[in-house]
Amino acid sequence: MKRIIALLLMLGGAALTLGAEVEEVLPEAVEPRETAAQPEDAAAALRHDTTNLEGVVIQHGGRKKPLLTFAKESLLTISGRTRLSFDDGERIDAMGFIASMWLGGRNWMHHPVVSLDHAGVKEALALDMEARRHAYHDIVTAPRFTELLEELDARTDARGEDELSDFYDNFSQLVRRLQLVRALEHGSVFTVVPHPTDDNGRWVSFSEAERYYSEEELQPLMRTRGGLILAYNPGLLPEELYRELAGDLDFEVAALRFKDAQRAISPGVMPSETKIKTEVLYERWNPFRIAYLFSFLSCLAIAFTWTVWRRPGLVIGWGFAAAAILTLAIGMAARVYISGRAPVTNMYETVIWVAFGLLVFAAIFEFRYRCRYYLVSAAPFAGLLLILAESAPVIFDPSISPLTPVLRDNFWLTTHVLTVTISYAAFALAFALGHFVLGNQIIKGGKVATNPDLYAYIYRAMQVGILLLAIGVALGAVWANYSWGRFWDWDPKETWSLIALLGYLFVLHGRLVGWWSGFGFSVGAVLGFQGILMCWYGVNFILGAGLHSYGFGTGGTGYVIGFVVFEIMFVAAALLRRYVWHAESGGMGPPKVSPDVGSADGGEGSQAQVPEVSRV
Amino acid sequence: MMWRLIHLFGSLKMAMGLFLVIIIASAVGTIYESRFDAQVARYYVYEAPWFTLWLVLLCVTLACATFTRLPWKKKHTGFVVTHLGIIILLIGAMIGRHAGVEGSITLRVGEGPQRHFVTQKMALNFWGQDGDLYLVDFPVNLKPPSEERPHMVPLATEGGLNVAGAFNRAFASILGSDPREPTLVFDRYSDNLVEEISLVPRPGSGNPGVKLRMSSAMMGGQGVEVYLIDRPADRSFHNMEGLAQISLVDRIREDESGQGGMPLMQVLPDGEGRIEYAVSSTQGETRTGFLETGESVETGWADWTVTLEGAFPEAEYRQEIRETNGSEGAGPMRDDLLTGVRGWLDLGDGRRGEPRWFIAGDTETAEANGEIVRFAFGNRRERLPFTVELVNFEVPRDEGTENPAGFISTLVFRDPETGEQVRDTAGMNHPARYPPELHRAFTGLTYKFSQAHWEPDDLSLSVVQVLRDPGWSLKWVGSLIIIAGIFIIFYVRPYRSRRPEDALDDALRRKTKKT
Repeated sequence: MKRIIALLLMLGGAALTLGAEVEEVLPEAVEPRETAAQPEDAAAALRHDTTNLEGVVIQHGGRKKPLLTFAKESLLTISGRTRLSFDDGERIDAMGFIASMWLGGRNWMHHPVVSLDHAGVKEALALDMEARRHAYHDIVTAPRFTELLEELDARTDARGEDELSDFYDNFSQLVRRLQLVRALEHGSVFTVVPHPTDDNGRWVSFSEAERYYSEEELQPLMRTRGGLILAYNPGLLPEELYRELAGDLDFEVAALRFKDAQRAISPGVMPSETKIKTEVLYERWNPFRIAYLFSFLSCLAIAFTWTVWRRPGLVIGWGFAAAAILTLAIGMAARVYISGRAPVTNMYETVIWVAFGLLVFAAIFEFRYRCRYYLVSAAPFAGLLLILAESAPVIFDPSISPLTPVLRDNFWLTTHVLTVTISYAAFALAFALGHFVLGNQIIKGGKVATNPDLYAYIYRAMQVGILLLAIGVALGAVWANYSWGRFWDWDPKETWSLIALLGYLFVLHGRLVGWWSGFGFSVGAVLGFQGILMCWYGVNFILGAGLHSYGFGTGGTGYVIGFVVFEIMFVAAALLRRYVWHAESGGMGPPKVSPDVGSADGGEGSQAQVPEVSRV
Repeated sequence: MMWRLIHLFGSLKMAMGLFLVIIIASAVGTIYESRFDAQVARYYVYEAPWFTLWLVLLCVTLACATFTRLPWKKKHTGFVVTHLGIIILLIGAMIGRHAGVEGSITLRVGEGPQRHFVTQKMALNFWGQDGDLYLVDFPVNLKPPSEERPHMVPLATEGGLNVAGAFNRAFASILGSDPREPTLVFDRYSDNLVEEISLVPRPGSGNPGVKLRMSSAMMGGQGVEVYLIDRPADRSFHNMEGLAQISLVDRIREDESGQGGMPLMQVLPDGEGRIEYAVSSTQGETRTGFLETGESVETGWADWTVTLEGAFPEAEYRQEIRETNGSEGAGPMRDDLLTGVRGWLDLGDGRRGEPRWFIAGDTETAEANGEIVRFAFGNRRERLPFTVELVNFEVPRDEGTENPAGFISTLVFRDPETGEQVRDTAGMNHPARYPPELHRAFTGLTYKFSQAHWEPDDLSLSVVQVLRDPGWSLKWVGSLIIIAGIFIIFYVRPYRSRRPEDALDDALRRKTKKT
C-alpha cells in the first residue's frame, strides 16, 4: 500500500511539473507495452464500470455539468449517436468512450467514430462511400483534405459562415467534429479543475492547473487523478507490481476518490451534489424514452375496450396514461431543476411539452366525458412526438445550454412560451380527434353517420387551444412591449401564430355562416393544425427569419413536408369519399350542409335547426 | 339605407372575406421577410396602405356587426366584449403607428450627451433654386428603384409644397415617361458599394503623377499602392502611418526631411516614364538614383522596398465607386462597404447628366450642362426632447465562455430646460424609461430605451433602440378584453348563445342528476 501511494505521488508530481496530460503522466518506459498489448488491454480498459465517474463535474458550454452529460453531448456531436457499435460487434457507450479518451485506454484516432453523411464530401475525401462513420486519421490524411480546409478558410473569410455552399457547410461541420476529437485526444477540453474563487470563472484542464493553484494545493487532486489513470490502465504497471497491488487498483474506488478531491479543492464554486446527482440520473434513465412506451401501451389497452376487455382495458389504459404523464412530469421537473428555467426553450423541449400537454388535456376531457376517444387518440400522438424528439438528436438538440440573453427573463418566458406551446397541445388533440371523423368517412363513404358527439369533443379541444393561443399571443405582445417597447411587429413567429389563430377562428365562424357543419369542422381541425405546424416548426426551420431566432435549426424539413402532404391527401380523400365517390354506393347526393344552430352572436343562421344530438 | 349598409358591413360573410385576405397577406409577408428582410415585408405588406385599409375595414365590420345586434341581450355579452376588445386593440395600433416614434441611437461611453436618433426611414434633402433646404421621403432601401421603374425626385419648388411635383412623379413612375421639370432620377440602390481610387494617365491635365507600390516581406501581402499627383496638394505626399513620408517634388532638395523629422522619400518624374528619387533614413543618410517603370529599390526603412508602377507626365486622380457582388470578398468581414444610389440630374428639357453613384451621408452634387443641384440623403434623423448619455456599458458572460449573458447600458437622461438628471439602466428585457413618471408612462409619453446592438470588439459602444408608443395602454386593455370575451363566449353559459356542443354537457348533467 505504501508503495502505491509513493508511486501515485510520483506520477501526480510528474504530471504537475510537466504540466501535461495523459501521455506525459505515463512513464515513458511503459509505452511499448501499451501499444504491443493494445488489443486486450484496450478491451479491458473499456470494460471498466464508469458509473462512479459519471458525476465528475466539468465546465463546458457555459455551465457546470456531470461528465456523463458531457460524454453524451460530445459523442453525439462526433458520431451523431450516444453509443457506438462497431463492425466487430463491439459496443461502447458515451462514458466508456470519454473515459478512454480522458484516461488513455485506446487510440481513437484510428477507429471509425467521426460521422460523415454527405456523399459529396465523402467522395472528395476518397472515403468509403458506404460507411457512415470514419476514422479521424483517415479523414485528415485524405489527399485533398488540406486543400479543402484552405478553401473553406478562404470562403469563410470572404463571405462568413452563413453563406457557405451545401458542400462546404457539411465540410465545415466535419471540421468541427474533427476539432472536438482532437481536443478530446489532447485533453484540453477536460476542464475539471475548478476556478478557486469565482463561481462564474473559467475552469481549466490539468495542463493549466498551475494558473490557479500551488503545487501543494493541487497535490490531492493530482494524486487521485494518477490513481484513476493507473486503475484504468492496469497494464501500465510493471507486471510484478501489478500483481502485488491488484487489490488496491479498484477503478470504481479511484473514481470516487477523484470526485472527493475535486470537490475539496474549491468547494465554493462546485454545484450542489444533489444537482449533479439529479442530472446523472436524468441522463442515465432518460424519462422521456420510458414515457413513450407508456403512451403506446395506454393507447393499445384502451383500443381493446371497443372489442373485448372493456373493464380491465380501461383500468390498464388509464394506468399507463397516468404513468406516462408522471414520467414526463418527472423528466421535465428534472430539466427545470438542472437548468433553472422553464422547459420550453428549444424545439426538443417544446415537443416534449406538447406531448405532455396532449396527455394532460386528454386525461382531463376523458375524466369529464368518459368517451375513450380522447385518450385513444392523444396517447399514440404523444408517443409519436416523443419518439420523434428522442430519435433525431441532431435536429432536436436535447442538451441543456445557457439561454440567449433575450430569453433570460423567467416570468415572461414561463408565462408566454408555456401558454403558446400548451395551446399547440390542445390543437393537436383536436387534430387527432379529427382523424376519427375523416377516417370513418374514408372507410364508409357517402353521407356517413358519424357520432355527433365526436364533433363536440373536437370543439371542446379546439376551444381550449384558441383561448390559450389568444392568451399566449397577447402575453407575447405584452412581453415584447415591455421588453423592447414594440407591441406587435409582424415578426414571422408572431405573424404565424396570428395566422394559425385566425385560421381556427375562420373554421369556427364558417360554421356560424353555415358554410360547413360537423364534418367540415373536423376538416378544419386537421387543416388548422398545419398552420400550427408552420408556426411551431416552419418559422424556425423553414423560414429561419425573425426575432425568435434562439430556436432556429435545420433538418427534418422533408419529413414535415411529407407529413403535411399526407394530411392534405387524407383530407382530400375524405372529401372525395363524401361528395364524389359515394354515388354508386348510396346515391343520396351530397349531404345538405346545414348550419348547426343559433350562432354565438345570435344573429346569423337564425333559420338553422337544432340537430338532434344524442349519445350513440 | 344607412342601416342596410351597416348590415352589409356587419355581415359575417364580409368578415370572413377580410379574414381570409389578412391570413393570406400575412403569410406572404413572412415569406417576403425570409427571402428579403423585415423592412421589405413591412413596406409591401404590413405597413402598406392597402393592408392598413384592410385593417380599418375589419374594424368597421366588427363595429357594424356589434351594432346589428342592438338592442344587446344578456347572451350577446361575450360577443360584444370580444369584438369591442379587437376594435380597441386596432385603434391602439393605429395610434401607435401614427403618433409613435421608433429609431436607434449609437452611444459611446465618454462621448457626452446625445440628442438625435436615426429612424429606419430614408430621406433626401436638396437645396432648391430659392436657396431653401427641402426634405422629401426617399424610401429607396425599401423599394429599390430599377431601370424600368426609376425613383424620381422633382426639384420644382415654387410655393414650397411640391404638389405638382408629387403628381408628376406619381405619373412618371407609372408611365416611365420623361420628367418635364428638373428632376433627380435614380435607377439603382445598393449597400454593397466600394470606393476605389486610382491614378490614370490623362493628357492635357497638366499634372504629373506617379504610382508606387510599397512592399515589405515582414508585413506580407500585396503591399500598399501609393498615388502621388501634383495637384490637388494633399495628394502630392503620402504618409506611411506616421513613420515615413513620400513626396512628389519639382526638384530634389538635399538634407530635406519629412514633417516632424520623419524619414522622407522625394520623387521627381522626368517626363519619360522614369523617376529620380532621394530617400533619407532615420540615421540621416540619403540615397539617390533613378527608377524605371517596374523596377524596385530598397528604401532603407526596415525591409520596405518601393516599386515604380507608373510615372505619367500628365495624369488624373480618379475616385471610382463600384458595386461589388458577393464573390469578390464583399461580405460580413468587410466594413468599408458604402450605401448609395445611382442616378443623374435630368433638366426636364431633354438635357441630362451622366449616371453616377451618390453615397448616403455625403453632400453630393449632381450636374447636367453646367446646372447643378446639391443634395444629401440617408436615414432620417430626429430629435429627442431631452439628451441621453451612455455612462457605462457592461456585458456579463456565461461562465467559462465569451458568450454574452446580458447587456447593461447605464444611461443618464437630462431635461434641457430644468437641467434635471435621471439615471437608469437598459438591460436585456428591462428597458430604461424617460421621463419615468407613472402618469406619463400610462399616457404613452415615455420613451423606452432597449438594447439593440453591440460590438464585441468595442465595448465602449452600445446601440439602443428608442421607442415611444402612445397607443400601448389601449393595446394592453384591448388584449385583456379580447381574452375575457373569448372566455365568456366559450365558457360562461348565460352570457353567450347556445351551441350544439351544449347538448353534450346537458346530457352529462342529466345523467349525473339521475344517479
